[in-house]
Amino acid sequence: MSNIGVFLLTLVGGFVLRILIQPLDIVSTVFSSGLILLHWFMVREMFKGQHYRFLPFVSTLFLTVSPWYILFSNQRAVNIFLFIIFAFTLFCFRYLKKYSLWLIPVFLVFATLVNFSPLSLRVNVKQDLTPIWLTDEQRREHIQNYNEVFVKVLHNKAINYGYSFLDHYGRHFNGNFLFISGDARKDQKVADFGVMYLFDILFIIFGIFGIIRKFYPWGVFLIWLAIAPLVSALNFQPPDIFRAALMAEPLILISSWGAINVFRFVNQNGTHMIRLPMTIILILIVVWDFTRFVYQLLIR
Amino acid sequence: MNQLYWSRLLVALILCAGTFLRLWDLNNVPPHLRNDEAAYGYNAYSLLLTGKDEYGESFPLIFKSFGDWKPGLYIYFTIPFVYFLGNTDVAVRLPSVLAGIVAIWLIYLITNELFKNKRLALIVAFFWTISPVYIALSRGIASLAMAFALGGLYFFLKAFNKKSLFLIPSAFLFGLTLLTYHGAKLSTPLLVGILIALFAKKIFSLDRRVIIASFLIILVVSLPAMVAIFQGKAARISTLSILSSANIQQDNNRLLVYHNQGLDLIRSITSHWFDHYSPEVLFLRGDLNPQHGAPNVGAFLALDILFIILGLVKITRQGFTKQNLFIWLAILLLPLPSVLTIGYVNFERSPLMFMPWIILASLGAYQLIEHLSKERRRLILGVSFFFIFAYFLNYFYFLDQYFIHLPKKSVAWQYGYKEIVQTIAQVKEKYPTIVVQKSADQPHIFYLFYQRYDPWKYQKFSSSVFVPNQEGKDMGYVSKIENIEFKEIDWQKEKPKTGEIFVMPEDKLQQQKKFYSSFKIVKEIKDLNNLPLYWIVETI
Repeated sequence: MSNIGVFLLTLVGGFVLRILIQPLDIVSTVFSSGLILLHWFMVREMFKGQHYRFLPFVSTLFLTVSPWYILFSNQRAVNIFLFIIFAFTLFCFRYLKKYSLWLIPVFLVFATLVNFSPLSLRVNVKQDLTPIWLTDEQRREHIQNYNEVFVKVLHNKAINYGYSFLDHYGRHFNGNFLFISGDARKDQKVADFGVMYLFDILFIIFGIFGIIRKFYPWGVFLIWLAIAPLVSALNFQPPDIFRAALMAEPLILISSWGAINVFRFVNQNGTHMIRLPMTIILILIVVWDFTRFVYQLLIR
Repeated sequence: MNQLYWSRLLVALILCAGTFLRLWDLNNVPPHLRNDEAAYGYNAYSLLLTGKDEYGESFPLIFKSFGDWKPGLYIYFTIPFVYFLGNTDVAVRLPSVLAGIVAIWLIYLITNELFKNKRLALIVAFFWTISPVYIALSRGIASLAMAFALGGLYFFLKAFNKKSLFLIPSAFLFGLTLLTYHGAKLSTPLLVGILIALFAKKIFSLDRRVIIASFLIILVVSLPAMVAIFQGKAARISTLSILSSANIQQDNNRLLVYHNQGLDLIRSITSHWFDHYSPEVLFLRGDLNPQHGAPNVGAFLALDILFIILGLVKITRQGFTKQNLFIWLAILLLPLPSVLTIGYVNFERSPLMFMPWIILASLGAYQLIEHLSKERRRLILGVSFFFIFAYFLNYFYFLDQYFIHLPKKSVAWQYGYKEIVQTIAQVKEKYPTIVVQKSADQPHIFYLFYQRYDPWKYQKFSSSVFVPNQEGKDMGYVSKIENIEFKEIDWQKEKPKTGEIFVMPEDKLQQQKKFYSSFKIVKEIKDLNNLPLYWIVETI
């Protein structure tokens, strides 16, 4: 019961944080808060056993205070889209467990394509002319051979748009975007903040070490993470925190699992003299970074 | 015996490939010497003829050069090449090229010593040989310090695996790195620190006399570099250090607990650190300095990412073995010399930072090959064939970018000065004054190097014409060599006299001709794309 009580408190806290985002959109806020609820059930369904007993709570807490989720909490399309994804994932893990490893990724690809792709593709090709210019420049630099087949095989729009896409895709995993500076657009970021907290750097490293040996159910989230920026990478100037919103869930889960592992590591390996101070320091860092975010969000 | 034969043959083949990739068309790719390279070349020439550097100092180990106090071992290695090949681009680059080839052999030995696996060592040597970043760096001037560091690393491992005595050459070679390149002042202590941390438990099993002797050797060899720092010859470090130029602004309206210098510095360093691991830098664009790679190609090929991911999964699953810890620590710490300096990522400041990535890629490839030879042969053969074709295409793309497109990027190479110098030399006696636009490119050094300016003569007045940097940074400039003046050309403030020669970039002339238009063109210097780059004009 106490677990449920803390969870409800988290839910209310999340709701309060979300209504602070202006302009307020009540439908988005409701769906955004609903995401917290769905996340809770989803993680409880997927990660069972004593080993994972803290994960639903910690990850829900992390999601509630996540800068990424808070920033898109007034974006109706993003929240509804994520709500559907979460609901489908929960449904899969509850009723179609043995198909979930391929069913969820297929649905993710399908949903993101339906949701963003036609617009993205058009915008990208129209606005991003660099690959076309680059192709021209590269062919010109071959001087009299500019029209040869091997020149055309190496320097063409397909290859340069392909490179551009890989570049855009890679930018979603750049630490600067994730932890330091966030989205390049001022209206889609909080000053001096990435889309995650600074402390997430440590937790994500520990999280990755923790999950790499257990493909199930983490594999679903690793595939999810790989798929999430695909459509956003088609955009002209990525990463865009709204289009890449799907990335937040696996990253938060990994970070939460990392946090649990860090605290376990300290408590299981540290001497008596180290355990308490280390635990307090870690908690203080988390609290400090969270309050820094709230300060930046509301006051600055 | 058979296996040994094959591994030797393969090492020889890899070395041949490495030699070819590093020597091919060295005179034209890169298309021009950089000012640092020209400075190395001229000081080697000066030492060869006079036993003194350009400022008249006898056999220095730290060279004043442009005011940046260059560690000078590279210059001594350049002397024989300048002797045999003259003041040419190839002569200056050859020490680095040869060191780059030796580095391939050393990385083979290091991997074999670290992993006790010849097949893996061969794969590492292969990836090293073909890696875009190490080909580019070998054809510059960055490889010598790197080869010394690799030599030091190899003998260090050998000291623990075989005889303590190998610690002595290790210490000697590590010491030499500090006399070879600025960045080694941080990268060598980091590498040695990583090794000591990994072998801490075994370190006291070595002969104590050897440990003390090694410590003394590294101290003595690196002493000139240390002394230079205390003598204030460290302007290069202070100019480039992120710690001295973090430019942190105080904002009194901000809460100190959330905004302070410490946090700003941590964010700045972390941000810079992340840049070194971005896919853009590693696989797609490189470090943006065209001197350190091919255009539109990263430190590695785009497809190498697959091998690296496989390698990462492998070592993460294996846990913290000594070898894996070495990889993790090297990935984390070796970029520091570049991380802690201003500007974007700079491959040349820490060339060894790619070593762990290459080992990772090789581990991934090794695992894949092992897996392929055991399971699902037909399917995997088909996929492999497709992948090898794609990889080949990817590599061909790099070669095309490096050997065809890179030589077209004039600005990156301080291109044009070689031709300017030749023209100036032809007209120098006919005119009372030749004015060359002052520039951070240090145009005087190209004149000295390419014209084989008499070092005895230059040493007599070099100190009097050197103007130290007015902002307290490292790079000063030389104001005059005989009737050639290097200064800011401003025809609005200072009307030119008739019968003078002026050398300036294209855009500068367009700007200046608004104030003075009576001149005739002596020569137009075109860039590598046949567009106007510099003008040499005579005022009338």
